Amino acid sequence: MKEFRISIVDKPGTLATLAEALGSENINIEGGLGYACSGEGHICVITNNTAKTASIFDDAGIEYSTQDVVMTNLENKPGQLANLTRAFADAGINITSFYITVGENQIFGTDNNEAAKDIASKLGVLVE
Amino acid sequence: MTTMEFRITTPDTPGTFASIAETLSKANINIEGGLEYSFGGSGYFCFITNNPGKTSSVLEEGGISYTTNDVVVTTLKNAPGALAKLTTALAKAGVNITSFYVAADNKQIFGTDNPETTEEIASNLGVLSEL
Repeated sequence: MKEFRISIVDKPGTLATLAEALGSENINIEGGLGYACSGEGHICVITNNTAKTASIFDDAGIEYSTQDVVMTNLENKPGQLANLTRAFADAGINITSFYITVGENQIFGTDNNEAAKDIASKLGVLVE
Repeated sequence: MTTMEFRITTPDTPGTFASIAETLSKANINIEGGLEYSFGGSGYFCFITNNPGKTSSVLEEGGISYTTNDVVVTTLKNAPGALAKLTTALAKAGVNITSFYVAADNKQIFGTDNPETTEEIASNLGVLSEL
């Protein structure tokens, strides 16, 4: 699964522009994050159609990078996130992005997705 | 409805996210939604919990520095254009989004520079919700 990462100017309308570009082409945003800091906005999204999303961004002149991410299905109760992230940390894995999807799964971008997948699989929370 | 978002800036190293999650889980606090994003050598963690008052106490006792922010809870339809409709309305009102993420039970969280107007717009669109 690919995550799109976009850096934007931190001002009203930038998330709307991006969401409109995808919505008008019938692309659904399955999960993502938006965060503004020090005058910059950072957006990560995953969609229901990665190839079409890339094409839409290209056509609209929206600059982006992509990275592979790991999907999990942690239970919604205290300690679940702690267990998994501690296992990542013990393996020296750094988390570069984290958010929840509309399907109530969790997305982890890491600096070692293969190891992260192994750990999530062993804990029984990996979504293939 | 608004709820309290906690914002924590950490070093971008393995284990910092885990330490915060462990601190909360030991106090039986559930993270209802959040984001973590790393850039420029720092990690930025925003989250909401099932008990903001206890979360504040636990973070303080753990010596974890944080700021808080009122955020608006919505229930957008899971369909293309739903996010665009709300964010376009916010943009037309000059509202700037400072954080956005999905929470449990298919809720969405919007931190903005004007929570009151955000609530009003979300209410007018019929998507205002609560945790």
